Amino acid sequence: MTGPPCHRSDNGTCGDLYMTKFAKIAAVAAAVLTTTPAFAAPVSVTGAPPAASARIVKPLTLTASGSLNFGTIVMNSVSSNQSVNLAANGTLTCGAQLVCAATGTVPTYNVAGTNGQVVSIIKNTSTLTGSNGGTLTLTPVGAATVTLTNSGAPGTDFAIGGSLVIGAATVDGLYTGTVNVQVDYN
Amino acid sequence: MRIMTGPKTALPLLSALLFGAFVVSAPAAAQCRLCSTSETQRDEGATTGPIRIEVEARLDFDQLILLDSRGQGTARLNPDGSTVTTGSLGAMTGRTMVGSVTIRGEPGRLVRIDLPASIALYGRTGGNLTLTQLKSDLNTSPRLDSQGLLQFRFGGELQIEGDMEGDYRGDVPITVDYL
Repeated sequence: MTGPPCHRSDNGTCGDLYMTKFAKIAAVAAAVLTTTPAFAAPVSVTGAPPAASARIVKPLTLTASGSLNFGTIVMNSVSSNQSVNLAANGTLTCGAQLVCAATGTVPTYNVAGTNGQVVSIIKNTSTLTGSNGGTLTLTPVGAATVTLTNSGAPGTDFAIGGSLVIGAATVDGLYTGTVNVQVDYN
Repeated sequence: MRIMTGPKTALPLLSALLFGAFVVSAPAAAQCRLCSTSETQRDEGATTGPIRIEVEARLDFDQLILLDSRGQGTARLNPDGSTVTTGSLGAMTGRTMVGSVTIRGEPGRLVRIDLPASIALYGRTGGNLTLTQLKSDLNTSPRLDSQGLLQFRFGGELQIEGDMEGDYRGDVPITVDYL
């Protein structure tokens, strides 16, 4: 070092010089230390984020009006199973060994829920009990789904028909029972 | 002859100490081959490849029936698929799905995966729901396997207030980084 002598009693130049050098050494040390890979640098992440979804709907309400009535069916020397079909539009058709009216009556159901939702119509068979004994199996028929056209009231209507099978052993009489229909969001 | 005092003496000493510290920190060559560790270890300081997030399944609450349009309720779908509803919400259907994500990256690397504290689900016809308490089934130290894969599932809790019927959807931003 060729600079002027410096003593503890000096003030100014010498102190500044050493402070500068000390700062440089500290900077070098800091630079070296920071190169230590304690944690890797952030890396690129690709791919779309996952989605979350939910559908909030009103509860469905189902009400029925009217009844499913096949009318009077005449068994005309029935020797094999004969079908009786009452369509949802009320049209009644019978097998060749049966005589029945051209039309019957069908119940109308009203389903209310969330607008625009597709509702499944679940139709289950049920048993009709004869007044003179015997039973018949009622199979509901009709649309599989209905789309709600409004939210809540007034709801959307649909009709349900049914079919029966009458065989040679069927006992005559008045058969009654319930129609088993349920609805659920599709 | 110059007598160095104070900071002037400390300067070379500090330099020597600093140099010595770096020299000491250099690993000595192993003398015992049986004692030495594998020489095929991955270099932790090597450059890191990209991480890719692949969505296997979205978080789907399916349909939630709001029994009382003026009430409040929550629907929780846990990462294990279990569900809990409270308040004005009916039971969830069996068609709910937990979110499922696969992370692809460097085999064997520890990663940090962050899920947001909450997100908004926006309705098609307006309005929004809040999805909170997003949780995954990851352990505390998730690591990519030997194939560089890590799969996890996540769920969350939906907060519903008032008449909010409709379809809602939102994105779940997931951040992943190597440790």
